[in-house]
Order: sequence, then C-alpha cells, then structure tokens
Amino acid sequence: MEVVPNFAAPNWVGVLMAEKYRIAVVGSGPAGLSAASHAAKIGVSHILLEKTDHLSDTIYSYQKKKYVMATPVQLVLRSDLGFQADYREAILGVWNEGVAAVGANVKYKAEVKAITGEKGDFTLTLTNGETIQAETIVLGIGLQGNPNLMRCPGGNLPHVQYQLSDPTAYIDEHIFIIGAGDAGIENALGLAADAAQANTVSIVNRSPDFSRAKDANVSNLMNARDAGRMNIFTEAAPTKVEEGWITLELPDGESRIKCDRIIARLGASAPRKLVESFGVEFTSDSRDACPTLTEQFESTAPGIYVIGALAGYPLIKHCMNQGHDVVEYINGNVGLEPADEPMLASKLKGLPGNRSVSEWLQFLRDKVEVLNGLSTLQMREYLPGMNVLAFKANDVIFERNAVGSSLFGIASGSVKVEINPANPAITIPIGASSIFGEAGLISGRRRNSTIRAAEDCIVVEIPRNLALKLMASVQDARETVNRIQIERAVLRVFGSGLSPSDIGDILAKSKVLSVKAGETIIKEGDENYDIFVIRNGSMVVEREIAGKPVFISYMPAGSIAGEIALVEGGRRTATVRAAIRSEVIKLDGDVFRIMLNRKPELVAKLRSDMSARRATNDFIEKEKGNFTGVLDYYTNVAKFLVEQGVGEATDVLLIDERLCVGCDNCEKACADSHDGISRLVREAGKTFANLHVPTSCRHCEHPHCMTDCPPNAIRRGPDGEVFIDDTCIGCGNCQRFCPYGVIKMDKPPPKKPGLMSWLLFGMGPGPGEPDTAWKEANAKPGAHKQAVKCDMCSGKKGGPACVRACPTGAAIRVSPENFLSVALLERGPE
Amino acid sequence: MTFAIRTITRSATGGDIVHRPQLFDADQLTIGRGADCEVRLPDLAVNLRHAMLKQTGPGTVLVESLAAEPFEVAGKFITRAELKLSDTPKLIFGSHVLALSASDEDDSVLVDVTRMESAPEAASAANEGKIFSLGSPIFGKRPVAWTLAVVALLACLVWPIASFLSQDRTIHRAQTISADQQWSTGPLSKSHAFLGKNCQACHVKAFVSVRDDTCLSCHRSTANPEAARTTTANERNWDGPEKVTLVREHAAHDRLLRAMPPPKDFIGQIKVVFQRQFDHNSERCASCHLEHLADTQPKGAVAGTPALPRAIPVLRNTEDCASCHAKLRRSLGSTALRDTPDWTHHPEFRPLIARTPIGQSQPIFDRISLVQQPTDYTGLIFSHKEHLSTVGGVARMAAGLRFAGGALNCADCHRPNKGGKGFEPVKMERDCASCHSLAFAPGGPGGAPRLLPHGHPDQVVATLQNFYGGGGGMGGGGVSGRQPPGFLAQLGRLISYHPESGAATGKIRALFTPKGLCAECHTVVAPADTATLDYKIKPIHLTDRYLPRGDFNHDIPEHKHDAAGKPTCDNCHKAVDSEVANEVLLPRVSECASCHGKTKAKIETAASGDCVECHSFHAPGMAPPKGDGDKDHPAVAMPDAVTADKTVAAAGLVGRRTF
Amino acid sequence: MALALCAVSIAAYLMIDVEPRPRGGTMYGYILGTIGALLIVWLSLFGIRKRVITNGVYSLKAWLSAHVYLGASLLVIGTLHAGFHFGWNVHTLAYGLMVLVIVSGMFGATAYTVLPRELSANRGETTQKQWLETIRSLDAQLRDAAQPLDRAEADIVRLSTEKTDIGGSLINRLTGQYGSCSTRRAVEELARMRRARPQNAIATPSAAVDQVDALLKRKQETLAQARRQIRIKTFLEIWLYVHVPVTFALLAALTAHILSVFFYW
Repeated sequence: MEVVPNFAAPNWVGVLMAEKYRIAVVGSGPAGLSAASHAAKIGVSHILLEKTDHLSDTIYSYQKKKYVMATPVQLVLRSDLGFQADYREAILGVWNEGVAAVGANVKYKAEVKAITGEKGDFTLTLTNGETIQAETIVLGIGLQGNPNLMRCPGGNLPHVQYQLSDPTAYIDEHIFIIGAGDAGIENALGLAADAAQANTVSIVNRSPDFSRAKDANVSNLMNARDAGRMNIFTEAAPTKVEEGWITLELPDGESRIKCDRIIARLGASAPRKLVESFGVEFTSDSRDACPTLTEQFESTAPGIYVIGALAGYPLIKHCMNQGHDVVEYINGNVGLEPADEPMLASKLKGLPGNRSVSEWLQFLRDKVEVLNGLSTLQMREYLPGMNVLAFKANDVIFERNAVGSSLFGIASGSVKVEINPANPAITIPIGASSIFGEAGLISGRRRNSTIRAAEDCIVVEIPRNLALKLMASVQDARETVNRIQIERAVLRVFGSGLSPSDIGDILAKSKVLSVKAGETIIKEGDENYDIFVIRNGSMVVEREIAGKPVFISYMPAGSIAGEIALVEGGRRTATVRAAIRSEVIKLDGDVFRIMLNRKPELVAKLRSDMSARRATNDFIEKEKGNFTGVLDYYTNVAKFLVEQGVGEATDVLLIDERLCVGCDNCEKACADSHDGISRLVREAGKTFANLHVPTSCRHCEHPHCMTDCPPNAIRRGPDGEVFIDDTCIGCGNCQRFCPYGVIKMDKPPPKKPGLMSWLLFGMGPGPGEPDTAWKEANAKPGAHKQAVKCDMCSGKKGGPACVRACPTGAAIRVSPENFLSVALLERGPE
Repeated sequence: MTFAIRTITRSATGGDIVHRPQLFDADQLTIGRGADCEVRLPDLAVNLRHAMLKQTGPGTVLVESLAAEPFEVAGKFITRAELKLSDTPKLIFGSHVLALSASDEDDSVLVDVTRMESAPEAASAANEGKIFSLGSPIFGKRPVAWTLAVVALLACLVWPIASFLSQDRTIHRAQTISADQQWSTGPLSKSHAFLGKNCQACHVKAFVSVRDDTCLSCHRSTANPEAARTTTANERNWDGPEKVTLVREHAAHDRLLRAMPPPKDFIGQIKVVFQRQFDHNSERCASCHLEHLADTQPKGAVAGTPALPRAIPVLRNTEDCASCHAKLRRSLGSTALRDTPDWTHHPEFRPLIARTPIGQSQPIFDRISLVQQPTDYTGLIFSHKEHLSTVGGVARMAAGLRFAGGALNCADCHRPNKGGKGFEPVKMERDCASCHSLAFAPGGPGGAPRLLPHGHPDQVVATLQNFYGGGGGMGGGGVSGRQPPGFLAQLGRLISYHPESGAATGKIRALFTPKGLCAECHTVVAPADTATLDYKIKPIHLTDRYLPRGDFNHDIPEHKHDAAGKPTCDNCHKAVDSEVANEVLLPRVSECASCHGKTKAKIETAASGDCVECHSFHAPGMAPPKGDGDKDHPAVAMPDAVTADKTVAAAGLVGRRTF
Repeated sequence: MALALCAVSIAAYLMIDVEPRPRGGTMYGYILGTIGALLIVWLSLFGIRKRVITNGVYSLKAWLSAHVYLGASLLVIGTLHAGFHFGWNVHTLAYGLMVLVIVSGMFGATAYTVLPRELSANRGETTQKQWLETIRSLDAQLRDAAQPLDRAEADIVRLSTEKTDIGGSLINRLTGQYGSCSTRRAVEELARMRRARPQNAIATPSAAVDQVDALLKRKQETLAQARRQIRIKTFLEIWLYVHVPVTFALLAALTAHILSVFFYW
C-alpha cells in the first residue's frame, strides 16, 4: 500500500519548497485524507503531512483482517474517498487508490513540531527541520498522540519500535517489551503465543506489580511465565540500548541481555499540549474535553481548523465528511449545510414551534442551563445522541422505579416531582432551564420518583454517556449537575417538609468524598456523628461480634448512613465501608443537629426509617449465640458475593450448585434464544457454599463496558438490562473494560438444521451454541465479529431464558439489595 | 566441510516458519535427543544419541545408528544408509523428518528438520465433550432408539398385518405358528382352543368386531339340529374336538336392538354412544360370551370350581330380561309377548289349547290365559273325578285288578318321562286298556284274547268281518266269574238281543252304537248310508305341553311330594273334581308365586323368582343349563317374537298330538 | 395432581368390579387406557419441550416435576389398565417397556437429587476445560523433563503422555476403577526400574527422573479428580441411555398395542 506522491498533480509539490499552500492538512487520518483529497479534487493547492510512511496510521495499525464498521448508517458520506464497512486492508486500499486518483499531495515522514504565524501566513516546522508555508491549517491528528519515546541512550536505534501491528511477523528473536500496561502485556503475549515462532519474549516493568493492567491480562502473563514462555523483569528500567543487546537496571544491579528487538509501550502523550501550543483553546481542562470550535470547525486560533477525533468525532464517517466540509468552508462556501443536517432535521421533525435545525440548536443551547456552555458545533455533535421531547401538561415523563440513567433538561415549561409515592398530590416543581433525572444519572439506579409535566413543556433527554461527556467537557455543566444532585439527594433523604433554603448551610458544609472499595467511612465505636449519603456505588454494613466482622446489610446508592449515632447519640453502632468504588456526600453532624432541633418531626421520620435496620440488628443479636453457624455463613457468602461484583450489580445470575446437574441447558437456552451465541459460561466463575456465580453479565449500576463505546451502542434497556445494539463496530473496547469477562467478540453462527431433524436424525450440532469445528465447517461469509453479552432476554415475556430453562431450578436471578439480606439468611448454610 | 541445519516449524496460523540455519563446521554430526547432539530432536521416540550423519564424499553421506534403534528411510527401517544428496533423501526419526540436500552455492550439506503433524492430544479441549460426557463409550441414544422402535413396529405390527392380509381364510392353520399370536390377549376356552392358531376364524375383518354371523356359522341351529351339528361344522372344515352347541337367536337382530331400551344412567348412555360409534354393540354373541379369558377363575370362585382353562367362554350378561321385557310392547310396537317387568307382574299362564268344539274339521289352536278359564276341546270323553274317586266302579275294578286294593292315582296313568321333568304321553294301550279291554274273542296268539286294533275304525270293521264271516264256532268254554266291562260281556248281550241277525254285521253295528264300546271314550260318527259300515271316530287333541315358552321341573322333590313323601299333584292340578276332559287342569301363576320369589316361602328351599328359573335366553321354552360344563344343552327351536302369533300352530307341534 | 390422579384411578378400580375380571376391554379399562396413552405421548414430548426455548412464560422446573410425578402415576394407571394380568403378548410388551422407562426415570430422578452436591464438591472451581489444560500442560512438562532420560525411561514417559485414556470405557466410568491406566502403569514401571537399578548405575541424572516421577504423580492426581467428575457425570447421564431409546420403543409398542386391539376388535 505504498503510495508515491503524485507528481502529475496540478500543483507540482516538492519541486518548489518555497511555495505557500492554500491549505496544509496535518495528519492523514480519515479526516485529513478526506480533506486533502477534496482539496485536490477542487484544485485547491494543499499539502497533506503524515508523520509515518503510510496513510491513516490509526487504521493501518489495526490488527490484520479487522473488520471496520461504517456507522452511523443513516449519515450520508460526502467525502471524495469511498468508505463502507469492510476489512482493514480493503479500506486502506480504497483510500490509497482514491488519494492517488485525485492526485492529493501527500508528504510522508513529515511530523509537525510547531506552527507559527497567523491566518494567511502560517509556518509549519517539521521534526526534521523542514518548514512549510500555508495560509490555513487543518488539524486532523486524531487523539492517538505521540508515543512516549525511550529516553535512554540508543533509544533511537531502528530496532526500537513503538507499536506492533503483526506479532506473527517475528521469529527466532529476543524481543523486549518495555512498559507493562495492557498494551505492552497484550503485545508480549501475542509474540509469545506461538511457540513455533521461537521468540524469546521479555517484558520490563518499572514498578514491582502490574497495577495498571487488567487482572485478566496479568494472570495470562503469569501463566505464560510459569509455562516458560515469558521472562518478566519487575522494578527494572532500560539504561542502554545497543545493536543486539539491551542493558537493564535491575534491583540487584545492571545486566546486559541479548535483545534483537525492543517494543516500547510507554503510553502516549495526548496531542492536546501540542495543539494548545498552536494557540488552540479547549472547552475545559478535563481529560476528554475538546477544542473550542466554530460551526465551521475553526478553532480559537483563526485559520487553524480542527476536525476528526480531535474535534470530538470518533466515527470514521463523521471525520471524512468534516474533511470534505472544512475544505469547502475554507474555500469560501460558508453556506454549506453540514452533512448531518437531514439527520437532525428528521430528528427534530414533529416538534411544536416549527424551528429550523439551527434555530433549534440555538433554542436548546440558550434555554437549557447545562447546555449553555456548548458551541454550536458541539450541539450538532450531541444532538443526534439526545432526544428532544414535547410533553402535554400532566404527561408522565418517567415513572418511579423505571429504569433510566439519562439526564433531562427543561427547555420550556416546567415539570413536577411526586416525592411521596403514597400521595401523588404532594409535588415539587422544577422550573424551565433546570434539570431532572440527575439522581438516576449519578447513582445508576432506578428512578426514585415519578415526574410529570406541570404544563406543556419541551425537554431534552441526554443519555448517560452523553451526559457524562458533557459534564466532562463543560465545566459549569458539571458543577450545575453535581450541585443540584447533592441538594436533591439530601432533600430526598428527609422526604417532604424541607426546602432548599432549610439545608442551605448543610450543603455549604457538605463535601463529596470518593471512597475506594473496602475503605470505611464509619467505624464501629467511633464517637463522631457525621451523616453520609451514598451518591453512587454501594456500601456494606458490618459489626464486630466475637472479634469477627459480621455482615449486617447492604446499602445501595441513595441510602443514608450514620443517622443512628446522629439521632440517638452515642458511639457508632456499626462499621460502614464501600463494597465498590463509591462516592458519598458527607454532611456535617453539628450543623445537622441544629437543623434537627429546628424540625423535630424529621427526627421521628429518621427513627421510623431506622426501624428496618433495627430488625436486622435484633436478628444478629439473637443469633450471636450460634455465631459460628448461620452468621459465619451469612457473612462469608455476603463477602463472597460482593467480591464477585454483586455489589455493583443490579441483576445477577446465581447457580445453586446443590441443584445444578450440569446439563448446561441454561447455556443452550441462552444460545438458542440469542442467535446461536451463549452469553454465559455456566461452569466458569467462582463458587462458595454451593453458590456459584457463573460468567454472565451483572448489569452493573455503572457499567464498565459503557466507558468507551465509539458508536454508543451499549445502553440500558427498559428492564434495567445493559445491552449492545447492532450499531456495534466490534472494536472490543467493552470486552476490555468489563472486569468480569462476560462480553465476548463473536459472529453469529450459521443457521442450524431444525430441532426435530437433529432430534430424530442427528442433523446439525443440536441445541445450544455449535462447537467451533462445526461453525468453521459451515461458516458463511459476511458475518462479522461484534460484541455480545447478556441482555436479560429483554422483550421476552417469559423472562431470562437461562432461568426458565433450568430443569432443577438451580439457576436464579437476584438483585443485591433483595438477596444480600435476610433472604440470604433464610437460605441457610449447608 | 559444513552442515547447515534449518529448523522448520509450523505456525499457529498455518504456514511454515523457516528459522535461521545453524552452521556446523564438522565432518560428522550426531542426531539425537541429547543436549550434546548437533541435530537435536526433542522427541522421546528418539535416543539420546540416536545416529550419526557423516559426509563420505562429494554429494554422499552415511547415516548410521549409534545403538540398536533404527531410523526410517524411504519407508524402510534400517540402522545404516549410504545416501546421495542429489536425490534429496529423507530420514525419519520418531516424529521428525530430516531432509538432506546439497547447498547450491557451496559444498555444505543442508539439513531441514521438520516435525510431522502429530495426532491431536487426547486432552485437547476439542475432546471435552467426548471425555466428560457419556456417548463415546456406549452406543448413542439415537441409533438405539431407532433400532428398538423399528424392530418393535416390524415385529408387532407390520408382520402380523402382513400375514393377516396374505392369509387364505378357508384353510385351517392349526399347526403353523402365526404372526398374530402375539396379539392374543389371553387363552381361549377349551371348546374354542382348537381355533387358537387362527385368529381370523373369528376376527374376520380388520377393525370390525366379531360378528354374530361368524359365531352362527358354526352354532346356528337349523330345522334338523343333528344334521346341523355335523354339516355346519364340517363345511368350514374345523376339526373341532367337541360337538357344537346349536342355538337359535333370541330374536331378529333389528328387533333385538329396538327392544333394548336406552340406559337411564348417564355413563351407560355414553357407553352406548361409544359402542354405536365403534360398532361394538353389546347385543352381539361376543358381548356376552367372552373369549380370551379362559384363564380367569369365575368371580368368587371357591375350591372345587372347574380347573382352568375354562371349558366354554365366560358368560357375562350385558342385559337382564326385565330391561327389555318390561316395556316390550312399547319398544317393539307389535308383539305377542306380554310385558313382564318382574316376577310379581308375571302375566297369567296362557296354555296352548284347541279352541274349536268337536265337529269342525280343522282345529284352531290358541293360547288363552287361564283367567278366561279356557276350554280345551280335546274331543275325549273322560272324567278325572270318576277315575280318581275312591268309591264306585272304577275304584272297585282297580282294586280287583290290583292284588292290593285301592283307587287309581295320577301316577297310574301319568308316568314321568326320562329325566322326570315331565311325563310320558298317556297311551290307550298302556294306560287305559287294562280296564277298557279291546279283546273280542279268545284264541289270540299265546292264549291271549284277540284284540281289536285301536285308533283305526276301518280295521276294526275288517277284523270282525273276517273273524265272524268265517263261521267261527260259538264260544264253547263259558267264561266264569265276574267280567271286566268290555267286549265278551256285551257280545253275550248282543247275541241275546238279536238272535236272527247276521253275525258280523250285527256285531259291528253294535260295537259302534252310542252304547257301544268305542263311545265310552270317543264320539262315533255313523255312516250317512246306513247300508255301509263306514264308521268314523271324531279326532282327539291331547296336550303334552300346555306352556311351550316356559319350563317346569316335576322332578324337584318339593314339586313331587310333601315332607311325608305323599304325592302333591293335586296341590296344583285340581283333577279330582274334573268331570270332563275339556277342563284345563293348570295351576295359576299365583300358585307358583306362593312359593317362588317370596322372601318367606312356604318352603325354605324355594328358588327365587328369577326369569331364568323357567326361561333361558336362547330357548325360552326351558330353563338355562346349570353351570359351565353342560354340553348336552339341546338346541331349542324357538320362534321369533315377531312371528309368535302366526306360529302358535307351529308351536303347537311342540305340545299337541292329534289322532 | 399426579397423586390425585393415582388416587382416583385406584379408587375407581376398587369400586367398579368388572365381570369376570378387570381388564383393558372394559369401559373403565378403555378410559384408563386412553389416559395412559395420552400421558405417554405427552411425557415423551418433554424431550422437545426441554429444547425448544420459547419466549412465553414457563419454567422448565415445573415441567420437569410434572414429568416426574405424572410419569410415576403412569405406573399405577398402566398397571390398573392391565388389571394385573400379563401374558406373552404385545400388550404386556408395551407394559414392560413402560415400566422400564419409568424405573430408569426414577433412577434419574434420584441421581438428580443426590449427585449435584458431590459434583460441585469434587470440582470446586475447576472447569472441565481447565482439567484438560492441566493435563495437557503436565504432558508438555513431562516431555520437556524427559528429554535427558535414556530410551527405556523415555518410553515409560511416552506411555503416559501418549497412551493415557482419560475417560476410559463405560466400566471404568461406572466403577471409577482405572486399573490399566497408562499413567499409573508408567508410575509403577518407573518405581520398579529405579528399585532395580542401584543409584550409582543410573545413566541419567536422577534429578530429571525425580522431576518426571513428581510430574507423573501430579498427573495421576489430576486424572483421579477429573475421573471422579466423569464418574458422577456418568451416573447423571447413564440412565438417559435407557430412558430415551426405550421410550421410542415404547411408543412403537404402544402403537402396535392400540392398533392390534382395534384390528382384532
């Protein structure tokens, strides 16, 4: 896929270095490529600067034969380069040809170091000292940034490389991987995977442990070492690199080791610094904030345009369109309507007050407080993800206990909150431009009250991921949301009878603490009496009995801790600590007491709330006698389950191994009800006291898998299930992020013969997921790997198939707050 | 000289990886597993030092085992080989192949070491299923299931049906084993056992229940029972061991069906619906006479019951008499039979009598209820009263005839028949002639007097004519002592009356005069032309059996005589007061009811009032046989109910004698 | 429900006394027969129900218990239908098969209630795949460790690495006795060989032999555990190899039984 710069192009580049280009495109990613080729197409003098020796490095360094999806489907492609879902090689091929065809002017191995001058007269300085003159600059350098280099002498030798595209390419080599992050470990494992390659692979880690890497990777690494396929150097650092040798600084002194190749995975420095050095400003200083841009992608530095991933668009199609558009803009065609216009138009169709798309964008941004900080461009970026909804007076916007973690902003009109489920008459109004639904957003739990439209109103629903992104990139948006959330959380704790004014000073002294898993916020026997509201995550309550901690109860987000000491006085009666990483709002006890004295009725309410907890306490007291029996079991099982991530789960599959006959009907049922791929592995997973937690999705409150999904394909469904829709591009991020390994990348297997023909004539593989052999034998082209995971059989009215299909009733689905309770006690020990 | 050893491995993705060659500048190499070998083969099938490779000249090498173990070259296992590099020989050690060739550029020897694809390991994950779950060590479920199912179907269904279709129905296949034996639900009774091997003897058509015709093809009684017994059986050439029992049908099938009332209870009705649906009605022979049950003891069987298998099919009554006969008229519309809901409503006896007075040529027989005190025109002149009275002539004569004195009694004339149920017909010669002598002259054979032939007036005339016409001498020897009433005495009187008249003719005329001998019992018809001697006697109709549709056993002790052993005839038959022979001396049904069907009977041992005490299903004229084994249950001719009225005459044949 | 069914049928059986003896041919007999036949068909459909995953609300657990109890009640119904009367004919054949199926089913039911605990206890958290992996890696280690061994000893190792049949025959699986297990033989062989030869005469470094010995023993332990699992699973499965095929035979015999009865009506 080598492309020779096309000298036949109208502007004979490289002949006259002195020439000043109309446009200099930095970075040959999808965006940059598209920009350059459009410039070439319409005959604008341009140059495309690519730091490597090939186009589109990001895609180039995908692993071989990776299938690249093209989403969003409904978005039209404007670029002059072709792009459709296909294999890495094919796509790169198309682009290379395309670029050659239009005669775009590409300059390889040209890495920009600095940009000086202003609009109309920029000077780009390359790392090799060359300079290039340009009137405008288009930055399409993506987010990958530059890998951190090896600083030690010899670090610049040719056999030192910073990425590994094909681990099978090397044989008989002594290879060192420097840096033990996930990337490094995965490379190392890849190189050592096939003994036939006879590579001697070593991995060098600066620190004693592999804290930065995922457990799965680490354990694989250790297995590889035990199998003698891998050398691991910890607390080691390279000090010198020579041809064929490397010198490591080890705890016990230096040593010089044979080494044919070094792969340094020392992380990358985000391009932000570089970009800022060009004079481009960002919307906020949070990590994933984007540059501030006009609707024409022009940054705060006039003449410098930012497109592509760096501009906040992770999807290839967007990038390519922007490449095309930005050239049009620069070329003076300001009136060009963005590619996503029809998409947005269709989205906003049918809403009252017929506004044009841009009017809508304007309207929403001005009216909704949390959106104020957004640029029109960002609005365009966000809107496809958001829903603009119109409600008539008294329409229900969402019900209590409905599942939902999206944030709502009120553009016009107002809504009312039914704080008392018993009596819907009691409501609290929320006025225009404010937000609601923030509790669900923060805690990841079901809605805690019903909200209706107080009058006709227009609200914008911001899905969780988008909301988080918003909060990350827009400073005051984040602050608004947090402020309101805390205020309302506190108010909710005491139900009605309090107005924000009452708790003003409490809030003033409140602070948000983030607690690591296992950390205690309240210690039994302490004297203090601060009170805590669990903002997100969950807590377990324990008491010291006969020197052993005894599990008492599980506290989901939204509940309060420490009120007993506050109300009754005296020492702390129990220890409260985080089951998983959580955030709590700490409210100052003294201030609180003052407020309680003002409002005695609250004390009563608190007391009544505490009664439930007392019940468990009494039980524990009763059971003190036969501690070793029930309580031990109770505590241990609870601990075990929390370790297994039940703490952050909303719905988890358990198997009672006292009943399980191992027929794997659950797996078969799962596969048969989900186009042939089982989403659970019954046998795998931990077991304790005959309680087995198989490998299957826990539907976490804050799903790790959602952390970074480019097409935003992972969402939470109406039944609380976390599911992946088919816009999945198969990037495998979610798989990497899931700490429980319940997501797998797989392609739907070919169609099986009918059940009866198997039952009677043994045709096909039978029920359940076919074995790999059969899959390969009958494989059909066109199927591509996507992420698959449990969707709790949503939409199937029978409920989860695994549970229905269990002949002995061993498989059960539980939610932690129901199961980690006296229910567990009743189950009783063996 | 040098050896270049290149290891070639197969990568996981397939495709060979040629590793960079190791060069050895020596004139010979050792091949083996040991660490000290130049060509090291990590293969347990190879010796530590297995063989040595030596270049013997340009393009030739020598390979030689260092121990006993051979190596393979061109399919042969040898311990020593001289090889030419030009024909690129391949040495095989265990699972490793050494390909030798000459280098193109220099004179060194190239050794390419490759490992052969070894069979997949037993413990490979692919085998998980095989290893941990059953199936590999035993037959799979599916084949077994199919085999069993198919075998079962063929053996138990297809084969029998096939043989059923293929069979020739007429031939009796007692000896051959037949496929459909396995369908039999149980053994046949002794009497049918000989059919055992041939199901289609009875099961003629598939899915059609056993029809009555099939049964009757052997058991139907015909005009000539005896003939039937042999013919019917033989024509179907069964060699049945026993004689077939011949039966008449109770009634025409359609009438039978009509007569049967629908069951009152719900379940019964459902039952009927199903029976009609499946054409498996309960009025068939087979629905009462159950086969394939010969191995079951009768209900409440006690010790001493006949040993199994049973002699004849098990009898199970599907209906009782009353269920039909209670409302027979209604269900049938027309029938001669009276409705008989139960014993207490049993209609009065209707004896079969001659209802026309003497003088009419054709007698009309009819059954008339005793209620109407019918007259039975027997045509006989006889007084039971006179004969049974203990005083008077008859009594005295009886006393005279007997050595011991005493009047006549019933048994003197009515003699029990064989079996004692009923009585022999009264015969003149036997029962009357001892007093009413027909002797007319001495000198009969063996010194006995000559007798007139009874019952034939013309012969009487003839006899007398040729006796006297021959001028037979006067009676010399006077007859002394008192004479019985009868011929000689009268003869004397005649002669004394008509001394002048012709001897024979006179005597004959005298004989037939109303005062004459015949007229004592018979009505004499004088000839129209008094010149002739053409005398006639009016016909006599005597009744042997007044009640052809019922059975009565005179032999039962309680019927015969009382506790003291004294005959009890006159309890039922009021003969002593009967002066004329036209009286019907039958008891009323109430008479029977005085004992039978009473909870407190005069006689404790009295039988119940069940219909079957006097009537049986196939032969209402007689009580059913008692017990299973009764083979000599005679076939009883029995008219269809529908034709009852018309055939009373026919019925008469049973009970009447006409002279 | 099943119990009720049994109770009713027994009661009815006792109440209705059929002349001359209870049998299939009576009205009550036909009723029982119909019920029984329907039951059999319904029960045999469980195999399908189990595998068809419909979306509707149902619980296989409920189906299974219905299957078990009604199946058991079938024993009563069938016997009453036969009126305790048997012979050498297709009818009794069908009955026999039915009993066979039911008895095997009962075995299965007991196995299902008793064995799972053992299964779970024995496997702890190891999965079948992991066992195989362990054995595989042990084999690999054996091969490496055996490199310096001389031929005779190497052959012993090969015996274990190449000839070991993990699952073994049906007998092995049922008894849990693997007398002729190659690994076991290998261990004994090795021991014998070492006893035979005086220490000093051993050609190969005894360290290597010790290592091989240790590995072999470890492999034996792993095998033992895996085989315990196999044994339990065998008991959980074996009965199905009677239950299912005989069911098919039963269905065939049942057809024959019913058809024959109406064929010779």
